[in-house]
Amino acid sequence: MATLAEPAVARRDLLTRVGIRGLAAREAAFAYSIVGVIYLFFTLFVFGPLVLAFYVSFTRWDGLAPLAEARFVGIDNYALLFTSERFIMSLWHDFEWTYKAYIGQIGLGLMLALIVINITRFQTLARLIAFTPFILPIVAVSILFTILMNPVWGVFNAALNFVGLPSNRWLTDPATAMDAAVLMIVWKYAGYYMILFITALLAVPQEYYDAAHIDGAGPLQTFFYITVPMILPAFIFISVINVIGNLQVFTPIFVMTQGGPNRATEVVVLLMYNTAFNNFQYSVANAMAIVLFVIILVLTVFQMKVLKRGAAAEE
Amino acid sequence: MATVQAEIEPIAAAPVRRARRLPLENLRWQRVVIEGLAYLFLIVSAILMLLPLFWMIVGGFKAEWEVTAVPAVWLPSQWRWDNYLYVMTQSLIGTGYKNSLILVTIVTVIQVVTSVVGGYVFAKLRFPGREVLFIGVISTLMLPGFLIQIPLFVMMAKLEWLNTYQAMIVPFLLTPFGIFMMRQFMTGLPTEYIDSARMDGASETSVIWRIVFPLVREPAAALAIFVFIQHWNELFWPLLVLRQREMFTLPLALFALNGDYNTVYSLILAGATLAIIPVIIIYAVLQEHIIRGVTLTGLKG
Repeated sequence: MATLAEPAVARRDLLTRVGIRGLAAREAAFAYSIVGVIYLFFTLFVFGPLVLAFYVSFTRWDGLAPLAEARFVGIDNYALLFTSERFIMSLWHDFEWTYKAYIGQIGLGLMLALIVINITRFQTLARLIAFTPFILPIVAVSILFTILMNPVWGVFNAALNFVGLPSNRWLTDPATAMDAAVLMIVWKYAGYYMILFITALLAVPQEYYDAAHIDGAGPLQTFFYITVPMILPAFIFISVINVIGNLQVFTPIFVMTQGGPNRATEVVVLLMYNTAFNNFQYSVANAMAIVLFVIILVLTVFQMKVLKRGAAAEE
Repeated sequence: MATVQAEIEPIAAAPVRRARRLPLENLRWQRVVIEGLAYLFLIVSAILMLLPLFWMIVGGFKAEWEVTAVPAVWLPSQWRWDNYLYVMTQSLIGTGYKNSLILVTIVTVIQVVTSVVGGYVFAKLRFPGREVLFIGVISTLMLPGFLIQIPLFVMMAKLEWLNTYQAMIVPFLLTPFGIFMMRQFMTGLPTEYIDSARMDGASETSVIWRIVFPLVREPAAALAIFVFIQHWNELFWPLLVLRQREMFTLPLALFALNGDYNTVYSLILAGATLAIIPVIIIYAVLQEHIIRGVTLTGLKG
């Protein structure tokens, strides 16, 4: 193949035609074997359970008997859910938790971010402190807040009394339990959202601010005409992950109130857990999971739509 | 999903810049007042964020009556290290600590390795169908934990894996999130080293070990931190699959301790303090990695 006349070219040509192709085949073979393992894993531990959840939600089954004994009941479980006052209440509690936590976490996070990027010193320290609650185990923090909120000797009441306000029953009063639980989650996540917003705010080119300054725009004008539109895509993204996360709330409620008092804080995942593992209505719990998943999906798509419209309006 | 992906990159790529000033230089006294108020607000926020933590750590050293005293007692009359010793050796916390350390370390190490390998395959190898197969992987990111884990529990029960380490490890050997994150980093890496190593006859495995791993050390460390913290703090899955007390992880042990009839609050506070120690150490040593990595892992919610 390699003639004396043009050895270098011919050798490279040979490598290109035989060598690279051989390598490409080897590369693809390796890739498919890895991708095969990945898909096998997901089939067993993700797609499999997903199909099982979907199938079981149309049957009556306690989760303990052999799966063959699951009796097909059509949409009975779903019909049961939407006529069950308790499930509807748990959905409302989910929404209540989510909108309150959303306002607290995103509102406080954005406010702190706007302040922190404008101060000249101690920025790193502010980020360090704000992020600390986020990394702590949620169980430890939930227990801590239960102790702080003790209606008899809790420090929160001591603080209220100190500034002349009456004591509160916090987690033990159906009227305030949800707000008290949300207070903990806002404390835990405000700094995390602050960090996310700082990153988004710093991505806005400084020239825009300089130009606005030269044109004589005040701080409020600058905020509404430059900052808001520029961080809108990031804002929607942050908003999406917030809603997805908050609708799935389980651990803080499970640790702090077990859904009480008087079911005032019973959220969907908690009811799902109790339905599956205390009442052994396993198939009903799976139907709940699917309903909640669809709600999360719809809210995500809805927010994405807003994002697209916001981005389009900008152009 | 493509939209989410497109949104993350600009956020993650944001460089750190110096403080951005409000356009108020022409009004100096006004600026001073505003900055003063800003610092005041931040100081109050910082105190509110740290005070509960202080109360927890100090509370672990108190005698029981000091925790529940009215009016509140801020510092213990005597620092009772015994509380910590007792909790670690005589309660479930010790067991939970051991189980959590073992399980979380195993899961973290394996998940980082599988994420690097998976990310490498989808970022750097050329094969027909790559994009479609990758979309298939990241589409599972949309599935919330509860939807998968409740049916997964039944599978574990049928396999007779309840109360075993493998139930806590095997379902987490690889995650779409880890693969996604590592792929995002590797897409931007130069291909020359990898290609030339391959031309020299290096096998794919040795390419991954010798060339890819050193290049992704930084993002892999960020991923490792997040996997560790996430699994260290997780309650839902262990609550489903671990029913015997000697198998409890730390969050479960804490929860059980809190639910006991004769609750001793000072000991619970000591247990909660012990539970935060590993994450505080990791945070203190690697804060820069963590804060830099947070926007990417923000996807996790």
